[in-house]
Formats: sequence, C-alpha cells, structure tokens
Amino acid sequence: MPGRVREQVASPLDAAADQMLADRARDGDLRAFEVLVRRYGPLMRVYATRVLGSNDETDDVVQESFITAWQHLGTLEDGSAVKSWLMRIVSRKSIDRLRTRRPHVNIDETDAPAPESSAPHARVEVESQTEALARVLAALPEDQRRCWTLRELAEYSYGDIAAELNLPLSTVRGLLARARKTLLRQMEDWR
Amino acid sequence: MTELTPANRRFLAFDLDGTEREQAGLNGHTIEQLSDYLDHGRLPADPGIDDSPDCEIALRGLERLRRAQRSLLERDLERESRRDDSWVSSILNNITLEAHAGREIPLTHPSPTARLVVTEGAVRGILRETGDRMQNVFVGRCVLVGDVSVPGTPISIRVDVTVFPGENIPLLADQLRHAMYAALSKYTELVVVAIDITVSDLQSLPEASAHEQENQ
Amino acid sequence: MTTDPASFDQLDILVRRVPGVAALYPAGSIVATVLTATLDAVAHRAPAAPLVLIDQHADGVRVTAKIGIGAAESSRDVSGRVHDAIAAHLERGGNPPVVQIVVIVASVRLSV
Repeated sequence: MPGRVREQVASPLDAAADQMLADRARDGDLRAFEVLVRRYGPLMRVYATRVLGSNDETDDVVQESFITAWQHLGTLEDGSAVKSWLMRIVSRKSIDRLRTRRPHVNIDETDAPAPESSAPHARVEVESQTEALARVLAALPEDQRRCWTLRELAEYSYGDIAAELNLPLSTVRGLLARARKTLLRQMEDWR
Repeated sequence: MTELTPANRRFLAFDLDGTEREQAGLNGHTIEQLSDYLDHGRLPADPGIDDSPDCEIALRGLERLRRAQRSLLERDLERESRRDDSWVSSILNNITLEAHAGREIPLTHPSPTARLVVTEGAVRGILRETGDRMQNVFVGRCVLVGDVSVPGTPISIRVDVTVFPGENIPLLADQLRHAMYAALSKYTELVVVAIDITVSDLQSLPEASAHEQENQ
Repeated sequence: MTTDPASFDQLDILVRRVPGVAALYPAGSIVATVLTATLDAVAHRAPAAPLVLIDQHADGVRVTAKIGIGAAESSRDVSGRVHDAIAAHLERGGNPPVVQIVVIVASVRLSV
C-alpha cells in the first residue's frame, strides 16, 4: 500500500531525536520517516548533485535511496546513526549511477590537472568565495571531486572512501591531497 | 593569464607535485596531517605545527576553505529547502507499509473459510498512537515478544518511551501501560502478560536512561 | 460454472462500504503494487488494478482484502464483517466455491 503525504502540520515528531524517528520508522511509522526525509533529504540532494556533477539524476537517486532506506531500516542497529547511514546509501546509489553512466571509467584518464579558472581576477571583486568554491569544485577532476565530497560532505574515513570507490588507500590519499591543494591554491588566488 | 598571486610566489606547500615540496614547505608535515589536526580541534597540541609560520599559513588557508565549504553547503541547502514539496510526495508515494508489516496475528471467526488477521505493524502502530495521545510522551520502539501467530500464546511487549523532563515517570508509565492494555484488548486477541516500559528522560538523552520496568 | 468478472470488480466497492473500514489497500504483491501505483501517479489517475485480490484455483477462489480500520470498533468485528460481506456477495453471484477469505487489518487509525 502506498504511503500518503499528510498535510504538512507542525508535529511534535518534527523536534524528535534521530534515534526516536529511526526507531519509529523501523516499526513502520510513515510519519516519522517523513520527518527524516525532510530533515536529511536536502543534504542528500546537495550531496548527490555534487557526486554526480549535475542535478539531472538527483531526484531519481535520492528517491531510490529513501525507498531502499525504508525497506532496510530493520538492519540499522543504532537509530542515532541514521544520518550517516542515509549518507552511505545515497553515496552508493550515486556511485552506482556513475558506474552505469561510464562503465569503463579510468582513474588515470580522469585525473587530469584541474583547468585553471579563467581570469580569476576579473571575477574576484563580484564573486563571493562561496561561488568561487562552487566553480572550482565543479572544475575538479571527477575522481578528486568524488573523494572530496565523500570526505567533506558524507564524512567518510579514508578507508571507507577506498572501499566505496574500490581504490587503493594510497590512491584515495593522493586524490584528496590533490583536491585540497587545488582548492587551497585557487583560494590563494582569490585573496 | 594574470593572477593575483604570481605562480612563482605561490605558497610552495600547495604545489600539486609530490609530497616532498609539500613537506619541505610545511616543516615536515603534509596538508592531510594539517587537515586531520584541524578535524581534531588542533588537539593534542603539536608544537611542531603550532610554532611553524608555514604551517600557520596553511592552517589559515584550510580554515578559510572550510568556512567557504560551510557557506556553500548552507547556500545549497537553502536552495534545496526552497523547492516545492513534490519530491517528498514522490518518495512517500512509492514506499509501502508491507516492508514493516511483520507477522500476522490471527483473529477468530466462526466460518471455516475465514482467515482474519491483524498485522504486527498495525499493532505497533496502535501502541505508538496510544502513547502519542498522552501528553509529554513519545513512544519509540515497540517489540512483541513471543509467538503471536498462535492464538492464546502468552506474549509480552517491550516499549521504549521518552518523556519530557519533570514528569512523574512511574505515574506516566503506569497510565501508558493501562492505555496500551486497553487498546490491545480492543484491537487484538493477544494474551499479553506484561508490558515492559523503558523510560528515557528527554533531557538525559542519549547518555543516561532510567529503566522503569514493571510487570503487571 | 463460470466466474462472473463483474461480481469480482464490485468487491473493492463492497469492502469500502463495510462500516468500520477506513482504508482499502492493494492486497497484491509489493512489486506489482508499487509499479501500478507509480504508473497511476505518473498518469494522475486513480489506481486501476482492483485492490481486493482474487486467486482462482481448481477447487474455488481465494480472496484477500487488506484494510485499515477506524478507532470505533474492534479489528475482529470489522474484519469479520468484511469477511461476511464478501462471502455473501460471492454466494449471490453464483461464483465458484470459496476456499478462503483472508482479511488483513494492516492499520488501525486511533486518531481522526
């Protein structure tokens, strides 16, 4: 039976802790699940958009993630960890999506140096650092951006990134180091 | 291309090539180490980092990067939250209660062709709603312990409850237990011998939780 | 004896009209249900597939209805009434013998 969206009214559940919401959702409480969807859906959307490099498939990926989450809530042992659990699901779905998009992605080919931003000085006056960061991030080689996003938005450990992307740990460290240094170097330019 | 900082005056540690120049420019450290150091709130203090002007420059750069990251995330989240609600509807319309229906609990009927059941999921819903109708109580996890599929088998129920601070916990638990017994006897034919209620104080969460357990 | 499809089509309406029934859910498989629900949602139309499930066997039919009930009455009373209504309806229609009528109470709405 499909769930129904209720009219959005302030409910005491809105303020409930993650643990309580996850426990209730695991018992089949659709209202509690809806609060989790509203609480973490936007972050998952931002995240999926960053990993995918565009928002064309964000809706699908986030929807699939929540449907998977609903079906597998019983496997979540610690309800207070629901946020990182959701981030893990959306990571996996996003990465799966990338794999189907480009089945033969090769690290060496995509690890090209980031293109220098064009005429940074012309923009620096009008462009906030936030906008600039968004632009530089978008220009990062895909593997670097993916590692950076897993680390900084999903708060993965280096080891988890390696496992998730099926890369040697040393490669992950290298990609992250390059991503950080590129971002730092570009920020030197905006100063 | 003109740049604000000419390439030859750039901070060496941010150079992309290899870690040797990076370490040479950072008093033997790497950006990764400095980033981890920041993650841990610059603790435990490392004088090798704190006393190095080069590390300080890099740390300031990393902090600036993080501030920009945070405001970028805030901006993106802000944009997302301004979207209409249709994405929430499409998620909720595509999930099914079956995933959490649980076991089937029989109800009696005289006809031999009848098989009437109430799902375990529905029973948990009854328990939750019973709690939600009371003031200052949140019902969390509900577990039906025992073989609910065999009519007449004694079972017990475990319920996690959160109450607001200042409530009389034993009194509330007692009221809740009575309300749950009443609801269960109305909507199910379960033989419930005990309802164990574990109460957590909202303020003491998540560390400490008082365990109030009482069998009827 | 042949089956009268019209009398099966009416089962959804019949069950919904039973006093105490607050909701009628699809009794079919999850996958089929989700797919149908999705297609219906895309097409902005009411669900097309009947919600009450009818399995035809050599020795008769097996009917499954999945319902939600309101707070006023017990699950046993409402589900029993649904069973009786389906049984009476199928008997009247001169359908194949009924092997089993399954009524699943999947939700109880205590609040309005």
